[in-house]
Amino acid sequence: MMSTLLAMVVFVVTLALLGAVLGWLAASSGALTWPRLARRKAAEANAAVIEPGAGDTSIDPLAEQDELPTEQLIERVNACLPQTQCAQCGHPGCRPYATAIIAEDAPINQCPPGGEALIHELADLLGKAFVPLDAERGETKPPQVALIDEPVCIGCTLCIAACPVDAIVGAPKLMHTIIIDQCTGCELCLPPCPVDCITLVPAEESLAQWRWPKPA
Amino acid sequence: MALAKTCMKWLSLAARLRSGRTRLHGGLRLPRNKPGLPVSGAIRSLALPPQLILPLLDYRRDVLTPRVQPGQQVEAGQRLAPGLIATARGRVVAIEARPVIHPSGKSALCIVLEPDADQAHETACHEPLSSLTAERLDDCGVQGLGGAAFATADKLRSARQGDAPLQTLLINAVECEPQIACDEALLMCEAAAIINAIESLMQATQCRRCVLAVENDKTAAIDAIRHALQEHPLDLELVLLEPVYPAGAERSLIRRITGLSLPAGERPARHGILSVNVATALAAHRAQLGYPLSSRVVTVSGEGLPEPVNVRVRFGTPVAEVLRQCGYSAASGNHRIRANGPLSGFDLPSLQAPVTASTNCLGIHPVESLPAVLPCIRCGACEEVCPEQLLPQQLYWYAQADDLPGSRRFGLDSCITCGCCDLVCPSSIPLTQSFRHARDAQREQARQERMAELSLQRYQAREQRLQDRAAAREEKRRLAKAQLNTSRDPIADALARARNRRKPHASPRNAASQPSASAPRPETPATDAPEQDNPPEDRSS
Repeated sequence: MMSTLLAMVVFVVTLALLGAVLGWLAASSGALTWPRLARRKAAEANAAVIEPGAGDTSIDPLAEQDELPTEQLIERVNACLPQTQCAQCGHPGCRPYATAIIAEDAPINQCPPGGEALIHELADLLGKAFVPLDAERGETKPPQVALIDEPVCIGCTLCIAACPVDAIVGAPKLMHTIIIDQCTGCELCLPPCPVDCITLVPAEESLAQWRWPKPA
Repeated sequence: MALAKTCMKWLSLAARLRSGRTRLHGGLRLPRNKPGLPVSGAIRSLALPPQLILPLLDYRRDVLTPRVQPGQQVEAGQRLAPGLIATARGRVVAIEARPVIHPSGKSALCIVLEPDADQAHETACHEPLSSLTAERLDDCGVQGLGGAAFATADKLRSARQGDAPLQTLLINAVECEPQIACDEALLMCEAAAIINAIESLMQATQCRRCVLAVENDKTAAIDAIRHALQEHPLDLELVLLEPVYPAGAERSLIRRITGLSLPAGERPARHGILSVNVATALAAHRAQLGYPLSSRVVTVSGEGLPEPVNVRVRFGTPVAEVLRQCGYSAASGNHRIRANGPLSGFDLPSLQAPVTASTNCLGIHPVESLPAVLPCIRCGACEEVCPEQLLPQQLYWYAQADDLPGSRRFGLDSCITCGCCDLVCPSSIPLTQSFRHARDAQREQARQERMAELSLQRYQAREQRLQDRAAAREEKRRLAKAQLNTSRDPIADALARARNRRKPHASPRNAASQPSASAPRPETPATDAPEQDNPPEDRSS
């Protein structure tokens, strides 16, 4: 009698244990997959972020160059250029310069706004040697924007025609003004102005652009 | 019976294991230093200052466009800009650059408001609603009071539109940082209102589970909440956590409550979680009753005060005014004022900066010289305390070398800049500041890439336009030339053309010439004017 009861109890406890373990496993699988999924997603996101960086593209640049058609290479180079469209490189814009680098083997040190960082990036991308910036093309300047002295402006529209990114608003014989957010500071509007009412001023750093100083 | 009991026991154990109250990794147990709390009665409201300064900035620090003008009279709760409301009735005296609460000490465009007298109490400016809506949260300018000041209406909307239905409503009352006790004061003084607020949020979100998370050492606050729950029963889970810093950080709290690890930068709403600070929940409820969000509780603590206090401060009150009304005397010593807590906060360069929704604490600290920075000795102490399980000592090298891809690989995006690593570093390396620098550098790089993309688009659009125009001109010239060649009598044709051209101008010349002179090409101001080399179309034909 006693042993039967004991056996029954043992049987029931074993069943309950099994049920509990199974239940827990089933339930916890949900809790476990989420973090895993999340982690995988994060890893993928990280990989996607890291991929276009210079570090990964520079491993075997020459081999890659052979595979890529010219058009795609031009696009890659153009993506590195600062898109100031200032023509200081001697080409009418950033894309023409990118085309010249690939198609005509133009030197990679002709872009003053890009500076040394750009030359390093292009050298890595194209498997070329680093050369210092060509001083004849100009010097790398801190970010700047054009400013029109509005009372002096006579509304000749010459600067509007010169602006490569349509960042000047105005009409004939009416005052012109710069859309500061879209001005690249290329200085192309300076020479055509007949009354010299355009000056370049350092771009003001907004609160959103402020950076914590790097600890020494 | 025994079987049922055993089963229940095992099931409850399984449930407890499943709910995964995972411990916070790392973190620090810090001396609490909580200020003397107003145990009975209400939290003292400070008097209105002579001028309220309302920064025209959103939570990302982007500039808002004002909708009022200097000299204009505004009502309390009136919208001054998208996402910014007037915190008192008064007159706009100026819209100008003033210092704001920011580590840079930079100024930003602010609306300066001269409040009318006799406005000691905040007044309702909308009709009470039966249920909470996102529009009402927008109208009342409700934003997160936990620190990030994210618009609560947007949070609610994204929780409703999320991929998954809302599973968990998480009310965050975990104030882990030492010296901050504004949420604790709210829990103690306004427990009943908080329970009502949570109920209305639960109704608005239709959530399946609602959790109120508090540290287990806030005994008086927990008692107050339990008492309020007895009087107003609610299906609310009260979760008590160990008082470890930074237990209140959103991502780690979600991990502990739901067992869900959110990737960096992912909104909890996408996973069916809405996490709001307890003060924000209360502000949302007050918005439902018609009150705009125009003040918050601020903990003022530290040296040079008669006693540490929690006070209710109207947004826009300058920090200097808050300190003065709390009895701080600047003559009592050389002090620096730190906003938002000793660990994750920053020193204020200007005391004229106004209190905003994200200012939860003003700490007064003695000015001490910083300890000399020594080389890293690879002790790994920072790694042990990092709540995000990063390797701060490794991340530091990448951040200092300005290697952004490397920094990202080592979890720059996951870093919550809590400052635990700084505190334990035996070499006194300013790790957190270097992570902040790297994060800002990453943001600036992204901005520059965006700008480059935009200017490329504009450049391409302009090139296309110039090409199209040249092609059209060429085509017209070609057609005219072809016509000229086929014509038998070109001279007679030219005369006819000239006559035709003169006809429409002949009679209304005086009337028509005037508007054309004053507004020569109104429809194409910027883009089409510049073609100086482009001869008038008539001449070319």
